Amino acid sequence: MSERISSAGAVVRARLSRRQALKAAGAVAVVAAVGSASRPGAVAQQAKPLIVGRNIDDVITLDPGIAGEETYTVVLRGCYDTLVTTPADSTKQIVPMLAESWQVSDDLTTYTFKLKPDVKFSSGNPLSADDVKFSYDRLKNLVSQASYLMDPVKAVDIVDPATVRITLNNPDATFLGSLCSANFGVLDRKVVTEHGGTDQLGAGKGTDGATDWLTQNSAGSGPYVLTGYTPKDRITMSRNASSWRGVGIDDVILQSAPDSSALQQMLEKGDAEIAWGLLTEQLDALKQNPDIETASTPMLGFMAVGFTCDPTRNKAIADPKVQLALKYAVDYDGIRSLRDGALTPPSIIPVGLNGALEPGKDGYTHDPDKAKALLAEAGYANGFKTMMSASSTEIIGGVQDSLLAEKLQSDFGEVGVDVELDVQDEEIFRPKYRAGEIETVVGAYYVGTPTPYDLIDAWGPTGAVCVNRFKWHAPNHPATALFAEARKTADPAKQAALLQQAQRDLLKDCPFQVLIQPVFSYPYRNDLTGVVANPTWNFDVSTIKRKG
Amino acid sequence: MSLQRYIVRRIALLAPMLIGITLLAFVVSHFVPSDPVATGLGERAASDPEIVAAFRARWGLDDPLPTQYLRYLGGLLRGDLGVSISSHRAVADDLRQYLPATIELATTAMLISVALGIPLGVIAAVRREGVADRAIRVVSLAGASIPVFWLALLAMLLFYSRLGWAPAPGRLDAAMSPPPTVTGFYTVDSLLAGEWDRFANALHHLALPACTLAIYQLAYIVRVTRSSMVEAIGQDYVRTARAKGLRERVVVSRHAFRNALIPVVIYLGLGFGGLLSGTVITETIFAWPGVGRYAFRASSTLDFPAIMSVTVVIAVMYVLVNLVVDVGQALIDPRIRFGS
Amino acid sequence: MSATLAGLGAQAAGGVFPRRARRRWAGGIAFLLARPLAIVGVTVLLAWLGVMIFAPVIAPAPPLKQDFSARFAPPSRAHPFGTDKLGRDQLARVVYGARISIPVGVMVIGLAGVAGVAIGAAAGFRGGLVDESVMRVTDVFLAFPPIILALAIAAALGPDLRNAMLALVAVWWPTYARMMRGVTLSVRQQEYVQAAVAAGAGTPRLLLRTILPNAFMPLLVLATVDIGSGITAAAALSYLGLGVRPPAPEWGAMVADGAQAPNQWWLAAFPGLAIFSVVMAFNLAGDAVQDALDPRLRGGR
Repeated sequence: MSERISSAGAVVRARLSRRQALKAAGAVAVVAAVGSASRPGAVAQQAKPLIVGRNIDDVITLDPGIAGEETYTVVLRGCYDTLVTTPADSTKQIVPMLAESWQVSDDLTTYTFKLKPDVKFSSGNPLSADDVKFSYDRLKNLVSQASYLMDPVKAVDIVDPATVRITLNNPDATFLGSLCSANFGVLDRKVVTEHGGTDQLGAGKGTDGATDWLTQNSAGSGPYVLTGYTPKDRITMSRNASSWRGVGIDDVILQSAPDSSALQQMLEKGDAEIAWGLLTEQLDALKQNPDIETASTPMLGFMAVGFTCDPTRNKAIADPKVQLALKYAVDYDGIRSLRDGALTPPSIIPVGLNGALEPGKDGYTHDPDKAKALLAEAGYANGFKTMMSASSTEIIGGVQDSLLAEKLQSDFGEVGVDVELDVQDEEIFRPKYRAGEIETVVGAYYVGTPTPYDLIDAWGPTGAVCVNRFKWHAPNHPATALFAEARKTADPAKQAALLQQAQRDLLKDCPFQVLIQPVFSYPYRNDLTGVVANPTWNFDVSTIKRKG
Repeated sequence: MSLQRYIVRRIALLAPMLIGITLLAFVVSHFVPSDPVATGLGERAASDPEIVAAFRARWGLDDPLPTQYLRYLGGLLRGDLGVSISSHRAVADDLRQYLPATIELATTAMLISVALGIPLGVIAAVRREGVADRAIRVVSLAGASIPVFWLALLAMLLFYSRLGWAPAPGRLDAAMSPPPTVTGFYTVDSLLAGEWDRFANALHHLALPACTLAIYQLAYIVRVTRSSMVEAIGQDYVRTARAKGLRERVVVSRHAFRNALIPVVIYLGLGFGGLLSGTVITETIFAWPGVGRYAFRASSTLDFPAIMSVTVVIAVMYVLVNLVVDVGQALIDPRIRFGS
Repeated sequence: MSATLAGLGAQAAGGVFPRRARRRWAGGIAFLLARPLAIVGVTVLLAWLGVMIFAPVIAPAPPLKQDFSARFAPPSRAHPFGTDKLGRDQLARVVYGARISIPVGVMVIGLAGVAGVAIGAAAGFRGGLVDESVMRVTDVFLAFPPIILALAIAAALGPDLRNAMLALVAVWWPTYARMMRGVTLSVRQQEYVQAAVAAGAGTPRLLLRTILPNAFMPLLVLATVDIGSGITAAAALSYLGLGVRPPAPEWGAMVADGAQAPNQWWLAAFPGLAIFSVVMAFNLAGDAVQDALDPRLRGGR
């Protein structure tokens, strides 16, 4: 297996260098011959690799059981398949992928999947229920940052080689959404075990040794195989000939572009064909360029301002009346104008998911006079001081957390609140934020799966973010019961109504306020087609083709 | 003092120096306010006390600092530089990958600045106080006054984005794979493999970042060359040569220039440190996968094993370069050995 | 950066500084004034001093005032240097930036100078083991390329302006210590100093009367040459996100912000030009001061 993949890599390399040499000689016609000689069925125009410009510094591993951050999503979407997925342009519908069909028990605790027949891994091994169980158990037992996905799962059972059954601890109508996560990608058990992988308890304590191998290679049934990762330089993928999904372009290179303005220039010069990770001002500038088109989608999450409820941190900020005042002090329209296409969802469920509140209908509006009046009522007519923390390096959907912090500093200043900014590198900010060592904070939160419960579990009245970071714990809050009820409600319309009511209740007194729902944008050269933005996997490289 | 004894003495002095370097790097990086458990394990695993205990034991985080230092020194001697918290790879592997890129860049920059700086310095000295001298001075001072981070931005915008003379950031075109690794220098490796197109491509990619780095050094090389040339021209033996009726060009090139070179060579060793500092910024802007960017990333992510080792390795490199320069100088100029 | 200063410092320290510094001082000023480039440098510096003092008068708006109706506005009559991502007036920010960027560079060199002089004088005066150990410590510090060590120290201390300055001082003091030690050693060997020691003069008195006046000139040379580097280094740390915190208008941080918007050229151009003009002015002045004090160059005239 390892020989197979590395020799495939060598073929690509040899072909590329030869192609370059020939290009220099101007023998374009021969290129097609060489291309098709080395890989039957390839056509000339596909010989050129797709180049995606991206700051790949966030990649630690490409092991589906562990991978996190952002860059991995595109790689895993290319190299692995999940049981179910969403259509590329929707997040509200679940469609088959490796599972041909599925059944959900009436009590919403048992999900049984019938696997698609004749699916082969890139090794040639057939995919069976055994591989699914192995992959899921491994995900759980690695105790990685991705293992939380397995928390609701009680057991994964093999019914027969083509059928797998997942039993949950509690009824959950939204579980299929979680299964769309790239971390649920199905691995080739045989190959992963050969390279030291295990799904047994203790995998996270060093008994699993496959991660390094899985960072350089892949063991999936996706349309591509991972052919290499050189940190700070590039990630390369090539077509997986045995995949049931097709590809438009045979080779893909994720080229390191650590500086976003350099990446913008690379895209405009054609040295990158898709630019991933640009800032809002750069995306705006690209609209002037006729050679560039942009695929966008609202992200499944938001950026919010949060307040501590611990009066020993800041007595004024911990006062619910002050928090309410500050929600009126925010210039929501101004903030939305920072990012073209952004939305202002009133509460935590973002537009695009079932149960979202309609922007502009509920929630707060900018009303500085009301804010001042509320502050006076709370006894802070002359204002007060607070420290606002934010990450200096985090950029979500083109918007920097620190940019919002600077805007809020000005907005809060207008109602007499003196904000000092504590803007620090992500790595310094994050631990303080996690430990709740903040007074006022700007933080972003978004999910990689089309389900609202990752958000609710974090930002609901008993959610980890509210409890640990804002020191707010409200198990008796009316929203708590409504959120729980919605989870057990199979009918989408009823579920949506419950979720909306819960959010309206939450809005009234929660110690945070959603500010903006940014959009993910991927500008690309207009000779490409099939670039579709998706908030779960960003974009699927296998659907991208060259025109003509 | 004989030459051998001088060299032995210099090398003997290296030992306390290396201990000092490692100690300073160790102390500084242990002040880094990071929680290696949280960053190394992630939020979830960090809440499992069993995994945390295993992690702490594995990295010896509970040992007293002196023990940790000694273990670190022991590791260094075995070529083990620890494991990076953020990349989860051995720092030695990381450096093996990034160091050649930086050395290639810094060396090229040095060559460019020497190739331009020495002739300009000589001209300035010969035409002292003339128009050429003043012009050279102003231009080279201007070069030294432009902040590297600004210069790199302007260079990218002008030569890549607008004029298209320079290629995209990176060491090679994206579609071109690196040559088989021998030295890690793409230029050298592609030559060894006989791949001319790759060599040309690597050189093309090297040009702009190297020139950007070179500009800063240029001013100092010009200044040192000029002042040592001025001094050399005023020396007795040059006057004698002149009095003998030798032509001015011969006097300058044969007699003055050779002696004037010594301070320039010393400066080159020192200037190497400035170049390495410059790479921190240029490597990010030019997407150069080198050790400067690695050091910056390590510092900003509070990755203390990486900070510690990258500073030690760079410092040791710098010290060795200066040792070579000093010994080389002692070979040329006996006064050094006997003088000190 | 300080590699270069180490080189220049070693040069300065290597020279022999005669006793009568005062005449040299006067001669130096005359020499300086005879050089047009030096005059340009000094004029630019005085202009920046004026900008720093009269910032509130010159700036058309407060530097932190946001205006969302005019984000990313190109230079115009209302905003001569344009506006930034939050609609803040760039001219105001560049003008107020002078109050941060210039003093920071000057203070870094000043503090490094004071620390270095004290340590270097002590080492030179005491000699023996103290001298040897101080010199070995400076060796160790000078073995690190400056920005790399400053990065590590700034990371250890936590990113803010004060810590960035401390990091740079930590990197810079050894240069001054070595130079001061050199001067102290050479002055100590002078006959009149030895005589004073024999006559029982106290150490502080000796330091004040004999060593400091002799060290003044080389210190001045080193400092004028260095201040430019100090300003650039502090701006570089801010550019890398290890210096000032937003929304403070610091030039390095402003260039970093502007660098993200290549289509809004004015954002990086003006703060960059500001740094360049100040550093160039200091370098022109420093260059002249250095020439003025270099007996070889003066003799040639």
